[in-house]
Amino acid sequence: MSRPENDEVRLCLPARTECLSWVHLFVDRLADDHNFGEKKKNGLSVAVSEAFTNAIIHGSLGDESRIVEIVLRNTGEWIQIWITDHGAGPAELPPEMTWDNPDWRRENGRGLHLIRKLTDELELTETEGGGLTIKMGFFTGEGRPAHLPGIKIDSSTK
Amino acid sequence: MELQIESAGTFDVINVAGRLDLVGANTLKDEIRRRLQDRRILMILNLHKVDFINSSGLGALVSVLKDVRLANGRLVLCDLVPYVQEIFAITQLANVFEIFSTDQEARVSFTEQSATI
Repeated sequence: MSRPENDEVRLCLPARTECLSWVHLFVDRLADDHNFGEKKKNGLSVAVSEAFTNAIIHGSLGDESRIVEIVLRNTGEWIQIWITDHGAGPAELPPEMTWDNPDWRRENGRGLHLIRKLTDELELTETEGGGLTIKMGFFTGEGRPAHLPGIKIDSSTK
Repeated sequence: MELQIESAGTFDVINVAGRLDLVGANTLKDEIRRRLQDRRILMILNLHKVDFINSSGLGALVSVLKDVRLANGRLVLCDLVPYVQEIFAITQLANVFEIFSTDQEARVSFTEQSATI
């Protein structure tokens, strides 16, 4: 997975739940800057919130000294966001859940499925040295692009 | 997130306001479990003022629904804003919860339930 080198915004936040409110402010501002409609703005907000929460709970395992990195790139047609933690790597889905058949009634394990439903592009990769990077893409135009880049799930991330 | 609780006879109406995320989820679960301990097992969650919900909030709702049903109680949702309705539709949880369009309809359902017992 390529990482953005130019024209990017980078945030490094402690893995704390209090930082969620900063993330929401950041994302809401981003959506407003791009004149996203309410539906798209909410989708962006939920997806980024899910990924950040995931990084706090599963990626940092309660260690608030760990850092979660958010990188944003605007290509014009796309908003791309990378959220990286430096924890134990991708968690396995609960055994009875699959990517194609999520059990929404479970109390846990639905965050990544929700992200998948709300993004136009999703890529999960293990971070070098441990941890997980979630790359999310949001088409800036109306509706969805004619050719979706699709979903790439690293084979080690069920 | 803020909770405002109104006792309406045999049932309670819990008005939820703000963000139902990781932080709000624990507040909601704690409050509902306290009410179950007090044997207040019939409740309406009015989500009209919930302006954000994510999987942590959904998880909390699923969790308290299970608790209420285990206690032989009933929990219903009402007055969901369009964005929250969409999240419930995406996650198919609209089929799991009893959801009423308005607070009034939810209250009537409890009143009718009492009348038939």
